[in-house]
Amino acid sequence: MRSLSRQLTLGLVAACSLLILAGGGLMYAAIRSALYRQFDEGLRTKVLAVVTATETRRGRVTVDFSDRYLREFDRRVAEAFFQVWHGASVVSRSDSLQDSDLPGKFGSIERPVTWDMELPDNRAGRAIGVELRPRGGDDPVIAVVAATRGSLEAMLGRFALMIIGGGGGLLLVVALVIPRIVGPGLNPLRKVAEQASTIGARTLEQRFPVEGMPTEIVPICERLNALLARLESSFARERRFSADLAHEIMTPLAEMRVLTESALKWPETSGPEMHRQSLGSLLRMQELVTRLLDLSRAENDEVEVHPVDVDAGAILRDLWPAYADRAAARRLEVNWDLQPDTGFRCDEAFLRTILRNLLSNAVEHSPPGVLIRISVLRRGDRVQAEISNPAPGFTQEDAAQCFDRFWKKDRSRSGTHGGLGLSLARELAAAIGATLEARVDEAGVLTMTLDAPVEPPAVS
Amino acid sequence: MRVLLVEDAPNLRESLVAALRRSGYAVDAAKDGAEVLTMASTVPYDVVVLDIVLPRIDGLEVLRRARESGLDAPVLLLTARSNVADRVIGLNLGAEDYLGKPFSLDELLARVQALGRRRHGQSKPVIELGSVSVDTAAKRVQCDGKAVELAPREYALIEYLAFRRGTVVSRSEIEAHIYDDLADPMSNVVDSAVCVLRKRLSDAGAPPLIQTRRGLGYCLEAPESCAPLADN
Repeated sequence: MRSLSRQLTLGLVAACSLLILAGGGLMYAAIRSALYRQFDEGLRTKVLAVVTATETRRGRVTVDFSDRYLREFDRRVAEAFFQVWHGASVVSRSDSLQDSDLPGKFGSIERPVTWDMELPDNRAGRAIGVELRPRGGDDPVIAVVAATRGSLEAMLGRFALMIIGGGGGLLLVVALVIPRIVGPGLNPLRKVAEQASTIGARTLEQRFPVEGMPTEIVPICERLNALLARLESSFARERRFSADLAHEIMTPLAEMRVLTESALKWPETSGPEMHRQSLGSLLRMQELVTRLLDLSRAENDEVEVHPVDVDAGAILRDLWPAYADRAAARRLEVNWDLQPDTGFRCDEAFLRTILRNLLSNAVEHSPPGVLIRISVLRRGDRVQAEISNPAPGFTQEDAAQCFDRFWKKDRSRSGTHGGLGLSLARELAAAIGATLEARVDEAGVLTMTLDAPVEPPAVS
Repeated sequence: MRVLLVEDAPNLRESLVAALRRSGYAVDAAKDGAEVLTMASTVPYDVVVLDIVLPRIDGLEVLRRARESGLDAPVLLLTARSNVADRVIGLNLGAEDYLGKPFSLDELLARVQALGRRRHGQSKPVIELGSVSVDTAAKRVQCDGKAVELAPREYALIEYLAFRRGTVVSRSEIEAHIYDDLADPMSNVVDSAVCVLRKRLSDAGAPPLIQTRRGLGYCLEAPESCAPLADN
């Protein structure tokens, strides 16, 4: 597995190593160049000494040079060599050369030629050659001086060793220091990773700290926190769904089991009333399962939509008688506002299911003696059916959650509603290209709005 | 024994009340938390069967408040939820037992019975009273190995007296534990029931077990072992 820390450390160590190598190389080159310049200056001094000792007397070139003054030209010392030519003939050579010759390369006195060479005794050397006119004559002579590079190379070797040693030491320091810099630098990321590893389905309330985090990590933490918040909400919803589902199914199951076991335990008490109760529980379960299946199909787009021309107002009028008695018993008044030209195309069965659910909720959950407003109106290419009623205690949060499966204002199972009606209504609304929204105003009036297009959307 | 059943689903509540009554319990039923708090503060229940999910006040909150206000009867929690957290919270709040829905009726009755026994410090299901034995698990009374036929209410009476054997039990205590709200508080149901029970035991050949302590109540077992009534 790739490690960011290891990758950064190796990368930085490699980069520093290259820099140290390049720096060492440049330093060596600079030192070598300076030492060679210095060495060449020494050769130039020597060749000038030889030139000074050269003169022309009566057409004959002589070199009056004594190695007593420069002992390195001596045969025994043999650290330096010179040779002087006049034309093609050798005028003079140092004792150190014995019978050997130096190469006759040369330049002007202002721009002498220098070169590396192998000395007659096979040692590495360096030479300088100049052409000049000796005192007392016009014929040019050539003087070449060479010297052993032994001390120069030894000094360069020492410098090379120092550079290599220093570079190696620096590399070691870099290799030791960089992980200690990279490690703490990655600590915030490590903390995020450690915290992330502790997050599970039961610890989704955790959040990554943003305070004190490096600016590069803050956006990551913020995104992760937003994701966690969504996950937490989603998990809470799913847990609530599971608990509610258990609730809704286990209760009628428990009823049926108790009734059946009672009938077996006390057969003499078994009768039509017991069977009626058992059937009631069974029908509740059947309705629950049917609704869940309907909802599942709607959520998975497995419902077939058959658009026909419909009029929401006419359907509401048609559905109302089923709720009129209940509304009257609860002293509810109804205000109708059905505008003309509110026909549109959609699946009538779906529309009836949606509107039936909205009417039922308004009649069952309004406080007694209040006014229910039912309206259908046209807005551009859309038709809006609204049913509003006072709903004390209904909050904005409720309005956001009331379409959740099994949502109930009172989460106990009391009442005949299973908490699936609005979920199904919203899914069916989506199937016909409409939206179903709930809003509650400051006066506590809840309005459910079905907003449908006049023409159904094209089926993909 | 008198049981308080708290369940908001009407069908389940009614069928459980019927089953518990047929099993010889005096049963009161409540459908929400507010009723429970009122009833538990006025009646000395032997067992409370409490659904966790209730309208308005959650069952766990009901349990907490009831315990705070002095409810000392053992509580059996019923719930359709299967999560451990609810059970742990419930048990930590003072519930004695837990049963998940859907449950076996026999298991519920057995647990109610066990909690009732525990309430009266009785660990063994069979109470021996000389030649008479009261089997609280089988709800059966035997005399010299032969079954004594008793109606549920008669059995409930001897079971309660057997739980309290050796102590004088007042009529009002018997009423409170044997009869639910259906009984007429003005009638002399206790005296009548004791009379019938004595006759049933006598017919079965049992020695006179139930002594009358005039002005105090009744005491089961030999009269000399009865302690005076502490709070009549």
